[in-house]
Amino acid sequence: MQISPLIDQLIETLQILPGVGSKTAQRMAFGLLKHNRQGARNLAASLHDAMEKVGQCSQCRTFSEQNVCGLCSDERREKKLLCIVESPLDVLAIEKTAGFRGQYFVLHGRLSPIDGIGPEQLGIPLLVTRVRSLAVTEVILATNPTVEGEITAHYIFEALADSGVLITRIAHGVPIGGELEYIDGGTIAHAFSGRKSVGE
Amino acid sequence: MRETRQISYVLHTRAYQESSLLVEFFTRSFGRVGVVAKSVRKAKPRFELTPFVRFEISWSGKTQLKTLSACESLEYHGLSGKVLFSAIYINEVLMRLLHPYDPHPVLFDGYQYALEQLQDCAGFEVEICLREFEKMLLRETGYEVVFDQDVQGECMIEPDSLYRYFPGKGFSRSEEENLPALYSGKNLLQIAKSDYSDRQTRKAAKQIMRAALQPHLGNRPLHSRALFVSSNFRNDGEK
Repeated sequence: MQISPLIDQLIETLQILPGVGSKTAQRMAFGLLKHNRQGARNLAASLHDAMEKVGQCSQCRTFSEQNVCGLCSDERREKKLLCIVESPLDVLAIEKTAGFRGQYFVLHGRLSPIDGIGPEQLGIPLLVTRVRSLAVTEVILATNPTVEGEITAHYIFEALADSGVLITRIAHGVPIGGELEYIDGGTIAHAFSGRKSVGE
Repeated sequence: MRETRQISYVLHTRAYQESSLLVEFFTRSFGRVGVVAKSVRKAKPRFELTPFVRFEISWSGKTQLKTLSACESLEYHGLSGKVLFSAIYINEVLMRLLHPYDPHPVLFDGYQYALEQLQDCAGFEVEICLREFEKMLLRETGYEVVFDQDVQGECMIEPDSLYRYFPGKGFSRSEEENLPALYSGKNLLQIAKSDYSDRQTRKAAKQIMRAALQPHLGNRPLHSRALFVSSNFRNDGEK
């Protein structure tokens, strides 16, 4: 059903948001029109500003409107530790735990030969230059434990193998609160091969 | 159409809509089958649809794209590190060469065997495993390379002669000795017998397989091959 060209267009464009289908988009459009025009104007303005201004940090490639993002320019952070992740959301997930005080490098994806995603798209050449030129002593490979994540980790490991930097991979295994009987064979195999002595 | 408990491997997955996955399975009885696995990205399922795990799957659906109805993992091939490059190369080649619903049970068993082999091999054994897989892949898909006979199929390859390879045709004896890409009969006969102990044989096998596969892979380059090329290139360049 056609309502009006502007409203139709609004409903249509709202559906680009993750988790929003046509029904939700309708509700959003009418809700904004009826109850919260100022909020919607602010939303439009921040969407516009963010899309125009946010780019990638020149050092870690995470999203930022500054040339060097807040995390990279923070003097209190450990410059020797570099954690490599697949997406900016992974940075947020790690930051929430507050256990890591080093710096990041965001790949924005993972090596996926069948989809045609290669090392250049992931900024791996930039990563190699960065590791070689900065005083990094440990690179932590925190790509996801999927086949593509593993391939990416191994590729980076090979690219940095002769740089003299310690290269580590995050542990995978049984999640906290998990029960062995419900865990898939691959995870159990990893958990066993990566076991460590009690008291370490 | 409903099929139950089909032995299969995942060749490739990609995100589909909000929470589903489009999965390309290589099944023993039906060949390559495209299946939608609904809602697997939203709720954490008991199985991960990931390559190099043998699954038993059921699907239903009337169109070519089926819907996954059940899935259980049977065996996990513990591949890690550099052999993953080789394993993903095999998957990429299969994605290019296999047509949907064209069953290749022998190839399927060979694929499974290759994954088992890759699990515990290193160095040039990986290479041998890949060559044997490629040889079988070409044979099973109807593009067999005959290593012990010449192009007309009349003469046997002679160990002391030199041969040129013509993709899709075969080997032809060459009288000129200085041409590039000439292979010695001795190497060809060794490949026919799956004897790869000689480094020259491995090199020849690699070049011939590459040339033999090329016409069937389409216009795009194999991206997984680029992983090896760039890592080798880097090692050579900095040694």
